[in-house]
Amino acid sequence: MKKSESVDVIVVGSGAGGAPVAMELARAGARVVVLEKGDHVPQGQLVHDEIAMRRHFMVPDPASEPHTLRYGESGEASRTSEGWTANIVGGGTVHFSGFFHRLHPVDMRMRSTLGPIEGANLVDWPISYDALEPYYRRVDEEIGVSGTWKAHPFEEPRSAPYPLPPLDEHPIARRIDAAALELGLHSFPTPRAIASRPYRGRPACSYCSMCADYGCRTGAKGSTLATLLPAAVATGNCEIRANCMATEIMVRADGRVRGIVYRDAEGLTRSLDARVVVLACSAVETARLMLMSRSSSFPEGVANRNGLVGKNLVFSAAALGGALWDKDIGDADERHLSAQRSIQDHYFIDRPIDGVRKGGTLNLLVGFVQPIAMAERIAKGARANHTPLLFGAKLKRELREQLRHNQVHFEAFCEFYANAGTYVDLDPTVKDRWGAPVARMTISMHPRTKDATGLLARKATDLLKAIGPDRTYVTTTEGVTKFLQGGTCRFGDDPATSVLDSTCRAHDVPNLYVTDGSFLPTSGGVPLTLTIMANSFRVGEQLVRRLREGSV
Amino acid sequence: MKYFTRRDLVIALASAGVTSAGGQLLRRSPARAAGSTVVPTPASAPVPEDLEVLDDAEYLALVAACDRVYPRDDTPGAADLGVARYIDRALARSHLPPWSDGLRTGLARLDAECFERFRFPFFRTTTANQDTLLADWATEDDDDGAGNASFVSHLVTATLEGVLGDPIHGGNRNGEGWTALGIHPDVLSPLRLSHA
Repeated sequence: MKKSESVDVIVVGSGAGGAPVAMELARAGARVVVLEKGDHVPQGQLVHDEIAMRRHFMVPDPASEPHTLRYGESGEASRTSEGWTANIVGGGTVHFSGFFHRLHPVDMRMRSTLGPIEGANLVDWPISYDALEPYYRRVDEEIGVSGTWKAHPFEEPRSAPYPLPPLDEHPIARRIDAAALELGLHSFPTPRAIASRPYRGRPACSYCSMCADYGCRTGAKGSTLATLLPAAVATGNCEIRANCMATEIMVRADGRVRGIVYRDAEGLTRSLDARVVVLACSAVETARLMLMSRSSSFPEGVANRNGLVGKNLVFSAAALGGALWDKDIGDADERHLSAQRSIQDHYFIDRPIDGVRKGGTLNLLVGFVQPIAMAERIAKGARANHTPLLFGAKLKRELREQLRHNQVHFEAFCEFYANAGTYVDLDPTVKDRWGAPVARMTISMHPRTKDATGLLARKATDLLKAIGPDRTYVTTTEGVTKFLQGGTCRFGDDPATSVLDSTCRAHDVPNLYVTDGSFLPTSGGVPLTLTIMANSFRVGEQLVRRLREGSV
Repeated sequence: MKYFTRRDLVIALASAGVTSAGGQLLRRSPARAAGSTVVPTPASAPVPEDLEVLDDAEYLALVAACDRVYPRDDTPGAADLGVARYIDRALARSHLPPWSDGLRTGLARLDAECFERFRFPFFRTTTANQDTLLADWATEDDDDGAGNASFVSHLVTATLEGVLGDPIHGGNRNGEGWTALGIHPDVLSPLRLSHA
């Protein structure tokens, strides 16, 4: 091991959780090193090639660096690449769709609103929506979020309009609006982390449509690679070390964190000392790193005296489906970025429908940019569980019918109720290729989660039917979107029931912070990325103050 | 399966007129003599000279199997689109695709079982027999993920990649896999890089 160097702050991870705090610190003059496991791919080299994306980008090979996954505690966990967000500078923001809905005020007080629910670890947040709002606004401004203010009655409180107008939409949007109106629903333009006009040196969207699962080659999509990371580096105070994977959090005898041991691009083990360490490796990998880092102060893993690191894992729960027309809808050559429509009428329901009070967000989409992935789903019967594998003439017929611009998809984002059967721990047997135990995910879906996804699937189907398609389908009401993960280091005021305090500092370790989705006590009814970024700005601001005060 | 040896396959191929001599089946045998007879199969053109990983027997079985996953109708099938060629190239990459697990041993098992049941290697039996065999395998129990059902599942994924992936990788000949499904290549690669 080389002689240790020292900086003010190490941020582990360069995605939604890591980049905002790194930028705040660097702008304030702190010397910051960002350790990123993945490669630094220049924007122009983010190829729009589905095979390259499937193979080389972002998630490692399950043979050499797997996660393991089991549904329920009785089964054996099998190897998977699921649960990795993205191993690349910019993290999951490189391949995200950039659906930038905010949480709603009710998400921060689920327990006091719904009361205790059997089998669910439902809690209120230690902070309110109002405490987070300024940082949502901050993200809107830094990234250039596009959308329409006051477009529907269920909108969360906002202190400012969107900095950019909404993106161009597919003509089907008008038919969705008409059908929604007929049913008394309120469709609105989906807020996106994509520039609809040139913004702060980045170009406007070129409407190539290759957002989800691809990197944006122009920088119109507001990944941290295109926005916050260059800004952090430009201060001269922030260095991004790509291909460097943190393997251990070093702890001093007094229980404070000393720094990070990592494997560099050449495979050498190095160590780096810091006054403060910020973890942002994604909820699953952050928990793994903490659990792997055992010391005399923390024999069960850093900041894990109460055994809660890795517990209360949550994801975004999903329902998926769509509507098909015999003829293509609209003109494929038209300039648009999907249908651009969302509905939040069932986000929180005053008078329960079918017993459901907490629903979520419906997103309506058109177009597809991953024909292989879609064809694979069709062949393998993801459209209806336990259907036999399709091949031959039948497969071709189904592909012809479904791989066209003849459908509107829906995706519902719902609360995944935290429960004792959903957590991350270290796999007792499976190791990665360097011999370290891998993260094992155990997942169990609370009935309330399925009630919500089921309700939203029915509401989506009603809406789609009102547009007049030839048929509708529901792919699943038990989807678990594993890119959108949180909860493994809940924040809270009580050190007995949470890992982090309300500033996302570990209760047990005064110089250790976590800024990815791990802090989230509830998963809300929207994609999590915007909230993770907003919280990272919030934590960054507090951390700057503490560093100046010398109180960390 | 226990009755079947590689030698049986060689004999079967030779007797089917696929090759003039058994020894030429193996790709890394001395270069195929000029003028040796390689009869096009129902599904395949001659075995290419420059396969990177697969041997001739594996390649022939693969061409036939992929073509049952994605057969020709009024649009091109997997054999027309060069899917087996794509798969061979993918197997030569350092970052192996997840479906590569057990693919080659699966092809050997496929030939072996086909020989046992239908007395011909897979690429030589009727398409009806081929379909029967694949359908039987697809519904087998396969708890450890290394059996016949997983092989068929991997085969389907690999075939779809070869049909719908960027032609730069060796399949989807001339983008015809896309165009047959109405996917305009520019929609997928509007800012295509030069992959050189």
